[in-house]
Amino acid sequence: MTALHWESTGSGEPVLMIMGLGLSGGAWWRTVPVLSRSLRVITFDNRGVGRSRARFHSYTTEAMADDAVSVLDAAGVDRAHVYGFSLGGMVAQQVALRYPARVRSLVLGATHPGGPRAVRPDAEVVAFFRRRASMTANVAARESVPFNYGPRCGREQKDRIAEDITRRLAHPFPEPAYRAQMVAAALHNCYRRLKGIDAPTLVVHGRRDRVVPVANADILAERIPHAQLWILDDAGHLYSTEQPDVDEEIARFFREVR
Amino acid sequence: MRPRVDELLEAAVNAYEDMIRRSCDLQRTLAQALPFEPARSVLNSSADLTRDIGAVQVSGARWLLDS
Repeated sequence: MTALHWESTGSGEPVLMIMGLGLSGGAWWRTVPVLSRSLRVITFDNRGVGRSRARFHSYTTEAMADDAVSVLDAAGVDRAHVYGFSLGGMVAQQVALRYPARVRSLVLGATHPGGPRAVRPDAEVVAFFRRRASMTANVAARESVPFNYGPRCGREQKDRIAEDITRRLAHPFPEPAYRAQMVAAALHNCYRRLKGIDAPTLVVHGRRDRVVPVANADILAERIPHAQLWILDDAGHLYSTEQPDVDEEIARFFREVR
Repeated sequence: MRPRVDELLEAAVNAYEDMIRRSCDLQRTLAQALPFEPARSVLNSSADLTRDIGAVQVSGARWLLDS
């Protein structure tokens, strides 16, 4: 039995939000209040994470995309804007390719296309993510700071980082679910099919992102027809912590889609 | 103009992916039509497995094409 926890906030055109590796839908806590001023925001916990339960984990982004669309079905939404972050951005690519009629527009945040052409993080980041599954949630949250945030944020916005960590620790995830999502990220490969995405697309990425290097945003924007590219100069991976105005700009993108 | 080999291979991979998709859809449609458990769950699980194994194969094939 699979039960996905989802929430809907606000009213207006629907936006489906797909969160990244190991994080629950609650990790959108900075973004939801901004987007829900003018949109209906639908968040959910990916399979095995947060309050969602499943007998089997999802080992592919295709499977995670099917879960995301089942949330749209449950919410009674035929067509939505889709905003995916990091691993959620890979899932969002699959949603756009597998269910094009369900996607009104697409925002791909801090993500990559997969396959051998994707630009990998440096060795230190890879080593951290390999160790990550065996760390306690608390230790992992604190050791991930240099990778998740840009250097300026690390120096000047320690209180915001602490808020993020507190929220993240409220919904720890089981190790098997994390490993399954790591497999899904490793297997993800949409590179060749990106040219088939016809939804209006915005690619957002922090220039200081160490987890998913910014060169991936260039690939996505180049491969997806008519995609817009927005690079945030001082931001790292978790850009909405570092540059709060980004959420308002993304809301504007959704509102202006025709 | 003759299509390049990699274009033919890509078309074959795309066709295989479509076949997997249709197979999954068929299994789910059959599952919905069944009035009893556990046959319905077995078919739905089989559809999930078909999708995931197919996804790994297709991802691997595209990986080789892109290398």
